[in-house]
Amino acid sequence: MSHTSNPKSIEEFLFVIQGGKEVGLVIAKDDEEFASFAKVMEGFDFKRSENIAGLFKSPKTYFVITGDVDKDVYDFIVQYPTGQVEIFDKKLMRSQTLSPDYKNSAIVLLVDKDNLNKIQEKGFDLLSSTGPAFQA
Amino acid sequence: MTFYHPQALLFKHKYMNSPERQFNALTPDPEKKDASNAPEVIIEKTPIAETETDVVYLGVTLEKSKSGDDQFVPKREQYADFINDKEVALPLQRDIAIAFLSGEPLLVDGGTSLGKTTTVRKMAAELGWEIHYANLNGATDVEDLMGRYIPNPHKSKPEDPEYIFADGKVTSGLRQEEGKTKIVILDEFNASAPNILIRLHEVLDALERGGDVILSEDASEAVPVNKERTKIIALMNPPGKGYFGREPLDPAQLRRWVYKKLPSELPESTFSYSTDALFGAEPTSQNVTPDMFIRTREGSLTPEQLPEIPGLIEVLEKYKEFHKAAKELLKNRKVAEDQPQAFTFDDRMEPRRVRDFVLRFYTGDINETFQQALRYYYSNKLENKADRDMFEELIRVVEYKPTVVPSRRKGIEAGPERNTEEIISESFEIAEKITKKMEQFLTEGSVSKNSIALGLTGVGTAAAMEMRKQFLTEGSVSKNSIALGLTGVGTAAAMEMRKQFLTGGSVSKNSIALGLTGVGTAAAMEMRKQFLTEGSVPKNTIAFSLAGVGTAAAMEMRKQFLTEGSVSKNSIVLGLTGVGTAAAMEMRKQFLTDGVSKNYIALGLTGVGTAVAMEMRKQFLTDGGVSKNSIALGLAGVGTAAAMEMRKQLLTEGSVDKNYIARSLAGVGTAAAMEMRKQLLTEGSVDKNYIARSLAGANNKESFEFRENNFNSDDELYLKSFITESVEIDAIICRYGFEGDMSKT
Repeated sequence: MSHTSNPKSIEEFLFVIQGGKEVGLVIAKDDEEFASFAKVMEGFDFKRSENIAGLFKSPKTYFVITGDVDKDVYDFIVQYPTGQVEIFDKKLMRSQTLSPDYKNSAIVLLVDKDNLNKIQEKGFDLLSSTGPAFQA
Repeated sequence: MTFYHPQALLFKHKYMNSPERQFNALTPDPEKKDASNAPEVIIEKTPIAETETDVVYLGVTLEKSKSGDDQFVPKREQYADFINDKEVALPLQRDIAIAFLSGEPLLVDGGTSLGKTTTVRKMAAELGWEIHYANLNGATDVEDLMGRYIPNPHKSKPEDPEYIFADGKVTSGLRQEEGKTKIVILDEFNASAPNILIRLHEVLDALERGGDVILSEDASEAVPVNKERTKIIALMNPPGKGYFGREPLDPAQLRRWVYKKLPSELPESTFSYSTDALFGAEPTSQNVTPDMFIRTREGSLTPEQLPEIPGLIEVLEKYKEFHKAAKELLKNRKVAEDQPQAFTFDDRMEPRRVRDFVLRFYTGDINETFQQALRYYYSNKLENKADRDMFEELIRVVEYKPTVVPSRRKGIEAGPERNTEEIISESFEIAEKITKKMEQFLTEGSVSKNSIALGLTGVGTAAAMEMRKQFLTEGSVSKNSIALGLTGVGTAAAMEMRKQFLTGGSVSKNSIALGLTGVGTAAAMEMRKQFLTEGSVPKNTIAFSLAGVGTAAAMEMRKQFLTEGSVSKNSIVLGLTGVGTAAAMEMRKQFLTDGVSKNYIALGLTGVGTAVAMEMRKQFLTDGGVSKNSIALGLAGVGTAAAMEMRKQLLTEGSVDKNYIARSLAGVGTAAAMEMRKQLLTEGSVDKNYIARSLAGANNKESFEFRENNFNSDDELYLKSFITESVEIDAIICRYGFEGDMSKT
C-alpha cells in the first residue's frame, strides 16, 4: 500500500527507500519535473531499466511507467514484496524467478500524474501496490 | 432438527455489535474468552513445527518436497521476519494447509495488506514446493496461462517439428514431475476476464476428477493433473471497497472453491502485535490457544469406516438441519449482509467436503472433527464477527450426545447398599454444593454465565432456580442455554420455566425438548406429547430426550415410534441410555436381532451397570464387531466393580484410546475411579480436559478432594471439572436425575 511520504526532497526520499520491501513510486506533475526527477535519480546512482529483468541487475534501479504500461510491470510490482518474483516471457513462453535482495537494493517507478491516472483507471492500482511514494 | 431457528438467532444478531473482525473460524468464539474473563490458555506447543520431512501448521501436517533446490521454490531467508500472529497469519496458514492436504482449491478473499501471497510463498519456502504465479488482473490472453504452440527453438534436423507446445504459467504448475509439489497462485482472481475464468474452471474440474486438461484447441495436447501434486489457490481483493475493476464473482462460480473470507484490513490488534514483533518487543510467533489446533490422524479413514464412528448418525441428522439453517440465513441476508461477494452453501459440494474432512481429520471425537469441518467450510465464508457468532451457536449443536440417564443410581456404583433416603439425602447435599460452587464462580466472574447455566445441569435446588431466573432477568445467558441446563430437572419450578419459554416463543423447542432429558414426570411426558402433536420438534429429538426415563409411559412412546417407523432404531437405542429395566434390555436384544449396530447399543448402555448389561458388553467384546471405544464410552456413569474391571482390561490390552477410558469415568465418584484418574494423569497419556470433565458428574467428597490434590484452583482444568459437556451431562443426570424430581426430598 502506497504511503505518500513527506520527505523534504526527492534526494531524501531516495535515501529513505533503501532497503525497503516494496517498490517506491515517484510521481511527477509534468514533463519538466519528470526530467528533473530522472536526473536526480541518475545522480544518485539509480540506473534506468528498460525492462523488468533489468531491475535486478543493479542495486539501485528505476523504471519509467508510461500510460500503456505492460502488464508484466504490474505483475512485478505486486510480487516484489512477497519474496519472489516470477517473470514470464510471452515470446519464449518461459518463466524466470528472482528473489529480491531487499537489504541492498532500491527500486523506484517514475511516472507522471496523467499516466498514473490512466493506469489507475485501467484497473492497475499502482497506488495500492507500491510502497513509499513521493511527489513534490 | 432445527436447534436454533434462524429467526431466533436473528434477535441476537441484531443486538450485537458487528465489528469487522472475525476470521479465525476454526477457533470457536475467540472473543467469548474475554467476555467471560476466563483465563486464556497459553500453550507451549509450537504453532508451526518442522521436522526433516514435514511442516506442521497448527496440527496440519504437510510433507516437504524431496526435490532439492529449484528456481520456482521461494527462498527461505526472504521470510525471516515473517510475523506469525494468531489472528490472521496462523489461522490462514492452518486453513491453507487443510486445503493443500485435502487437494481442494482454495479461494481467499481479503484486503491487500494482509499478505496473502506472501503467506503462500512463505509456506512454499518451508515445504520446498514450487510456486507458479499468475496475476489475472489485465490478463487477456488465455494462452499465456494455458500454453501455446511456438516455433521450435531446438529444431536442428528436418524431421524435428516446426512448432512445439510450450506451457503457460498455469500449465507449468500442472505438469507432474518426480518429487515435486507445485502451487499455482491465481492472484487477483476476481479481476479476471470471463474467458480466462472458464478455462481455469476446466482445470479445477479436471483436478477434482483426476483427469486430463486439454491444452490446445485441436485437443492434440493434454496434461494429466493430480491434486496430490498440484495445489491451486486463488487470491482476491474484496470487490468494491476501493478496489478498481473488482466485480463480485457469480456465486455459481464459487462453488468449485473452498471460499475463505479474510477481513478487508488488518485488524487493529494484529497490526499492533505485528508492529511490536517487528521491533523486537514481541516474539515473531504469537502464543495460541489449544483450540486453534487441528488434530490430524495418520492416513485417512476409508468411507467404509465412517458408519463405525460412534454418534455419526446423530451428528449427520443435526448437520442436515444446520446446513438448511445456514442456507436460510444466507438466503435472507441475515448473515453476510455487508459482504460484496455473494456465495452459496452448496447442497452437493458442502456435504462432500465435510465428509472428506472427517475422513482425513477424525481422531476419535466426532463432535470436535465435525464442528471443525463446519467452521472451515461454513463459518470461514463469513467476515463479520456477529455472523460467525451466530453460526457458532448453530455449530455447537451439531454434536453427538450419548444421552445417559440412569435416574435413580440403582446400584450403578460399587459400595455398601444404601436405601433411597440415603441416596436422596446425599444427592441433595451434592446439588447444594454444586449450587454454591456456581454461585462462587458467579461472584468471582471466573466462568462465563453460559457455562454456569450449563454447569447447573441436573441441579434443581431453589438457589439454582434463582440463579437461572437472575440470568434471564439480566438477559446475560441465552435462553437456549438455560433450557438445556434444565436437563434432568423435573421440579414444578423447572416445568414452569419451560412453559414460560414456550409462551415467550424465544427459545427453540428443540432446546426445551433436549432439556427434558432424564425427566420422566407426567408433566414432562405431557410436554413431549404436545411437541409431537404440534410436529414442532423432530421425533428423533424426543427419542433422545427419553434417555434416563424408563417409565412405562416412556417405553410406550418408544414403541409407538417403532411402530410408526418414524424414528430410526439407532436413535431409539441411544435414547435408551441410562435405562436398565428388563423392558429396555429386551428392546436392545430385539434391536440386535434386527441388525442395529452394536456400537449404538454399546453407547446406549451408558449409565447402565446391571449384571445383564455387563453381560451384554462382555458378549460384544467376545464376538467382536464393535469398537472398543464405544464399549468404553458406554461405561460412563457406571462405577461397579465389574465396570472398573472392564476398564482395566481395556487399558491392559491397549485396545482402546485412553481418552475414552477417561471419558468413561464421567460421573463415577468411587475411590477406584479416582485411583484410575490419578494413574491416567500420572502417565500423562490422556488429555487432562477429559479427566477434569469426568469429575463434573461425580461431585462427591472424593471428587472435591481429587480436584484439590491435582488441579490448581485457579487453572482451566479446575474450572472445567465443574462445567459439563455431553457425556458428562449425561453422567450428572445419572447421579442427580431422580427423574428430575428433587421436590420429592
